[in-house]
Amino acid sequence: MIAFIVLLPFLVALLVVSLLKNGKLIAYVSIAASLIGLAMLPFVSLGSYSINWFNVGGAEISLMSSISEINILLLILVLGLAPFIYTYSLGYFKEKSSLKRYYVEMLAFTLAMAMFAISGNFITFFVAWEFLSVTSYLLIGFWYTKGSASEAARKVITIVFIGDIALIASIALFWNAYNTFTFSNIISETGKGAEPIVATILLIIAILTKSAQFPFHEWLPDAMEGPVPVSAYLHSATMVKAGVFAAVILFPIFLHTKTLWYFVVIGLLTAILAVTNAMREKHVKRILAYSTVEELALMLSAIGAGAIGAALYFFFAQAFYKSLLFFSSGVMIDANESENIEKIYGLKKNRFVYISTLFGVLALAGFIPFDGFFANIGIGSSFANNLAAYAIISLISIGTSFFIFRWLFVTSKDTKNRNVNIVYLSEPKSMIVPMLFLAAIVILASAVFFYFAYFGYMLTLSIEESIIETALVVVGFLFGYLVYSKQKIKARLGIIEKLAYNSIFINLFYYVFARFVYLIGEGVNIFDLYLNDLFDWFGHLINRLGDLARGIVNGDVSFYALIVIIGMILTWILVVFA
Amino acid sequence: MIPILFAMLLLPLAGVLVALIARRWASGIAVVVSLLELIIFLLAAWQFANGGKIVESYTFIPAINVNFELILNNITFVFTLLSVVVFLAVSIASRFFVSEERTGYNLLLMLAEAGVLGLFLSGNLFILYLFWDFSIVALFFMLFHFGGYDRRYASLKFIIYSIFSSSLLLIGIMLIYFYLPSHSFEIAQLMSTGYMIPKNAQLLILVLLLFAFMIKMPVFPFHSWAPDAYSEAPPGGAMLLAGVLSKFGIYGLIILFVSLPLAKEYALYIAILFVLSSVYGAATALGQKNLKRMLSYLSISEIGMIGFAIATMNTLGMSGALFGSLSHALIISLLFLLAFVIEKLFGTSIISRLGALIKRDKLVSYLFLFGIFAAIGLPLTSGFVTDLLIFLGGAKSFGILILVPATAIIINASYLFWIYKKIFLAGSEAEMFDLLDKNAKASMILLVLLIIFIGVFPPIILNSIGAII
Amino acid sequence: MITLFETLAMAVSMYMLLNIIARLVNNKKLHFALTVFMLASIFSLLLMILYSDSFGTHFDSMLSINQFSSLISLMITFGMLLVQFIAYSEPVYQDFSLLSSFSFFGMLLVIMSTSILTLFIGLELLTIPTVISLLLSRKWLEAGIKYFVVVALSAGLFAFGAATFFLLNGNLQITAQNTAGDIIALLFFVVAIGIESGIFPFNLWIPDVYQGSPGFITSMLGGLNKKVGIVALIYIMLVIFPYISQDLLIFFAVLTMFYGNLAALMQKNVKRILAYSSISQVGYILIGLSTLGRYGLSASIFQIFAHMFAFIGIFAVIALLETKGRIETKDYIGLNSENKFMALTLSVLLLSMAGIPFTAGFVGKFLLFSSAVYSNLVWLAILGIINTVISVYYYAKIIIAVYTNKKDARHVRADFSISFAALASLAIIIFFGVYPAPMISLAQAAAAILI
Repeated sequence: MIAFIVLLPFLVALLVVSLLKNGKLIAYVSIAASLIGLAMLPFVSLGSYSINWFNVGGAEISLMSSISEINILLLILVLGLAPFIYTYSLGYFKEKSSLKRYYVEMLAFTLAMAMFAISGNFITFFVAWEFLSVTSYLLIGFWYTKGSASEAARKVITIVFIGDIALIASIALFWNAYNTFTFSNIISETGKGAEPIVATILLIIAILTKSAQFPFHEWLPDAMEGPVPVSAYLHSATMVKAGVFAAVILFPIFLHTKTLWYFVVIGLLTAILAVTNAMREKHVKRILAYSTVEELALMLSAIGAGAIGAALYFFFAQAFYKSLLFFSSGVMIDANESENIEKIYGLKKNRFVYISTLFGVLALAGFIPFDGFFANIGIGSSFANNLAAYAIISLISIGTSFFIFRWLFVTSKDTKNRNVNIVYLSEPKSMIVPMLFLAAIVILASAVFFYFAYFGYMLTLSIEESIIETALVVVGFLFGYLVYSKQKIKARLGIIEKLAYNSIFINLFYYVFARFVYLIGEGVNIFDLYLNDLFDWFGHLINRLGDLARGIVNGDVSFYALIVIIGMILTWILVVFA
Repeated sequence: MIPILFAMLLLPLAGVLVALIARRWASGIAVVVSLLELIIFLLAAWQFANGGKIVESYTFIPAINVNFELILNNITFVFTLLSVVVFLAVSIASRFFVSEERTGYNLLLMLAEAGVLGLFLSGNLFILYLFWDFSIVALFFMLFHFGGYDRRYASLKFIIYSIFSSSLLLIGIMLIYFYLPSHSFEIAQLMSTGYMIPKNAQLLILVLLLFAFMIKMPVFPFHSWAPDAYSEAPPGGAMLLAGVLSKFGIYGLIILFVSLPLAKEYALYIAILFVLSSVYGAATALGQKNLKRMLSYLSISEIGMIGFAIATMNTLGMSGALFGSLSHALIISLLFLLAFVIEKLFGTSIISRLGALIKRDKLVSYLFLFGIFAAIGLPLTSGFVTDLLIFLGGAKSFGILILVPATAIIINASYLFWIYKKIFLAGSEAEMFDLLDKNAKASMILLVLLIIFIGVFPPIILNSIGAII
Repeated sequence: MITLFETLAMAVSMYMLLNIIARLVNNKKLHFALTVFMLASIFSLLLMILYSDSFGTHFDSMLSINQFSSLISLMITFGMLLVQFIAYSEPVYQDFSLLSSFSFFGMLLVIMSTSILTLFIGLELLTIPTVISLLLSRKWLEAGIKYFVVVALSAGLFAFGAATFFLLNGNLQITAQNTAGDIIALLFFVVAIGIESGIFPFNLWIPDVYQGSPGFITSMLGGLNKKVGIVALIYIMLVIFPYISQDLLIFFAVLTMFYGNLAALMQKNVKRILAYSSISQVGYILIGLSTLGRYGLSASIFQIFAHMFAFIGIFAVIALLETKGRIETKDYIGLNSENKFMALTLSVLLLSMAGIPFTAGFVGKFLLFSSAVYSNLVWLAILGIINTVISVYYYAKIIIAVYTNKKDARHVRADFSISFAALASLAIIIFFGVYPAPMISLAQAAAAILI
């Protein structure tokens, strides 16, 4: 079937839901739609299909889908996670009154994400990309009465929009160079000679903003103001991956323009910044957000190193455990009414939740036999030939393991508080069941590693790699255990600790930059006011001349007669000598 | 053959006569007139689509070679369409805003409609000039009689700048007549034989007309009249000034570029002028404390981009400019309408005094957000098609110069989202003094639907534009 | 068979005679009716003459009826008619009517003259009665004396110029002659007529006299006397001295325009503003003359027409408000709330003087500036439009005042005669603004006769 078909269930659901009023019904319709969409997936055929939108003077603007195995991979994530997310949402929102707005926005997002996944030309790509930004804005600021949420939404879209405009400029420049919007055409053209460097740089900027990389990475932690399912879906599994996905699809462009090293450098830098932040962060979701930033960074650096297969597998695997961990954080926040990990207790009360969370943590850290393990191996092997990079990656792995176990240990403290424990025990099934499913997938996904050739990339692992990986994870675990579970070593790193909290610096930079831009605005404004005054000043000048002119008429008629005679004489002189 | 274009001109005048007799129904008459205009226009459009351009000509002043000529071609089609739509929205919305002296206001409105339509439909430069000044005067009256607190200063400034602009235009028109081999005021003649004008005359005409249009659009550095005029104007007035009158300059610019080869030679410099104005408008908007002033700078910024699109001198850019004129007219009218609604409902348009409006009126909040998205180019709105065409055309002619308008859009987005948060989402709830009525809602919805409609089905407009260069 | 011209001559004589009689009878209404009747008859006669092409010279070639003179006479006649309407409500109406009939005769003489002699006689006949009119009331004394002084000066200079001219050329005919060396004569003529028609720097008397005179006399001064002066100027400069005149005309045009517009900016008294404005209008007309071409001349003729009626119409309103003691711009605030029709008339006529389309004033300006452009005097046209922009400022201020709402506005009743004058002017200005074609053709035909 042509790929656009997968959009249909969500489109229909969107229309239906806008007419309904009952929150629960709306949720059921959405869940049903997502299941239908998923069911359609196996029938999507590879290849391209385009729908013409409009033509102008030599430019054919069409919506085009182009399906290869990689698109299928992303579609699996989008369509596969959707049912879980929708189901969890049903239980997550306690007051059902806002469910309609939520599901409308969620369905719109899913629609856009699916469209993005199947896009075969820049037009479709851009349309979907823009809608990803917009729905993300709406969903992050979902609780708009909350000041921090609206501010976060504003900040996010202001940053991401820079990438959106960079993207459209890039599209225009690519079109100018190659006269086409289709990915396949552009890719084949870039090999031939004239490399549009500026367009590529703009494309990279777009990728960096969408996937929250340096220097645009701080929006992702702020996006945690949105509801948990939004964080689970958009900001870990799908939307933020759009940039990475673009890097994969358009890889040959970067290859031919020799810009791949940008990804490596920025990726590694971002990963370091993210990990250090995660180690100090206290907000339960923000830790996970920094973790996502780190993951995306590693994916991008792997792509930069050319190891697309590894990146893709990581891309695939990470989605599941990350959303699982977010689900878990949702439960934690519910029970404890706090988002500060130091004030979160009692995770162990609900065994299902605890076990699922544990699975997720182990997967993220990279323990065998969870899919994270294989993902990390893949990433590590992409840098096997560069000792420095490999060392950095290894340190990052330790750090990752450390902070995620910290996250687990601190939140799973016991408590005597009955209220907390009751909530844990009485969480709705709609929230628990998806977690269990995801926990299972997190193990099953490991198998995909060995069959990844289907997607076009052969992945292997060696014994040395396995041992190194496990060692790194264990080291991190031990640190975490000692520091947080047993409180044996007080983490006293002084200045390094302060420096590690580098999100302050970046946010400070954002703030300064924003103020700088604002000051420019004020400056221009003042200049404009002067320009305004110029008009008034000019008017005054004319008025002065006017006063001069009328001053001649002083009421004395003999003076007038005198002027007449003088005028006559002057005129005579004029005529005679001119 | 029914003189359908002439009918479009006469209709508002007939409306004026009827309104003078039946004063009580003046606002209703205005709405009816606008609605009929739309219907007649659609008929004319249908005729245009099937039969090519419509030309109606009557002898007027043979002594100076002036015929009263009306033309509906691919260029005037767009401008006429946007005028008719904006006037419809204004006449409906005015029923909500204007409660005193309705007769006078609606009389001026209908006169202005006649003037604007006459201008865009005119096929003769002399006639075009007649309606240009006439529209200015009509808007001047509307501005100083129905405007806000500082209206005297704003309207004086408006009329002086405008008369200066039209005077430059007048000299340019005379020069064109003098230097065209065929000695004609006809626009069609100008466009087809304009290249025959000697170079130094072309330069003079170019400078005069360019300055004239830059004042009108407005473009930095001749824009100083606009923020005052737009903010002090009555609700309909601002929508007309920003949405329709700015297009006088755009229309003139298109004719200029199509006719004079010299304009092509200087296209790059002119393009730079426009994009600088675009960024300037965006930057100045950052520091504004008054919502309406901010929107006027937004308008300046977007007009700069449209001017840039014209300077690209290729089909994509020109189509982008024409489509963008329509899109800009709709979007800026919507935003100004919303700003005035806010002012009426909450008593002020100063940003710091507004807050948490979403709790008070959801419709206005959602529509304003929609307006912002449309302004920054969200797909499925007309703004996207405009931006895309401008970027494509701009890239084709000027390459990386498109990064400048791109920066302008980014700046626009940043302050628009910032004020959206400040006005609608954050802060303490502002006091509500009034309620929306069906007229205001209808007007807003009309604009929104059109923005979406042409955003989803651009061929409807683009096919009528066809290939211009 | 009496020719039309002879009928016309008789009609004019009758007009004056009836005036004398009616004044003696001392019945205002009768007097007015007779005046209107006679003027209307003269108007129709002129119309017939114009359209029947019954042109020719008369009185031993001292008078000539042609396209030009009949057209201008037509305008003057109708203008005078309107002035009568404005003056009707004045107490001194009867005296004024009598005096103005003599002025009217003088005007026709000037317009139809083919000889400098008749020109001179006409000029004096035109101005002296006006001086006397100003002496009818103590309030206008100062203006009257000032006007008398300038008229006397003008007469003296003109006589001197005529004498010089006769000495050099042997005749007093207004035809193209070889007058290359006659600078002195030209100078005297120009200054003399410049005094009357308002060229800078000979027009310094205008603001004082216009302000000091009552509305109806000013309307005649600026609407009729000045125009006739310009006609005289046309005869002198374009017909007799075409080759030496262009630079001179340009020079005067620029000076007069700027002077008029700049000085008007800061004025508060409405009549003074209009006085300066009419000075600047003369400047514009001079632009048309300075092109020395038919097109420019026809443009000036049209502008004479447009300004005449706009001026007279405006003074209808001014006269009305003057009787209520409202003489400054700030007194005009709220006029719209008091009498919508008067407000509308005032505004439209002011817009006509500013050159807004669909008024006759715009057509005139267009013709004038385009004539400059077509004669390669583009910079002159640009100066012209700069002046237009400046003038918009003070016109706009008045219009804003008029349309500003006044709280406790009571209706101001306008007499029928004032209303008629206002309505007629408004109608003319708008009609010929929307459909100027016939008048333009007439003006072009008139210009063709002279050059």
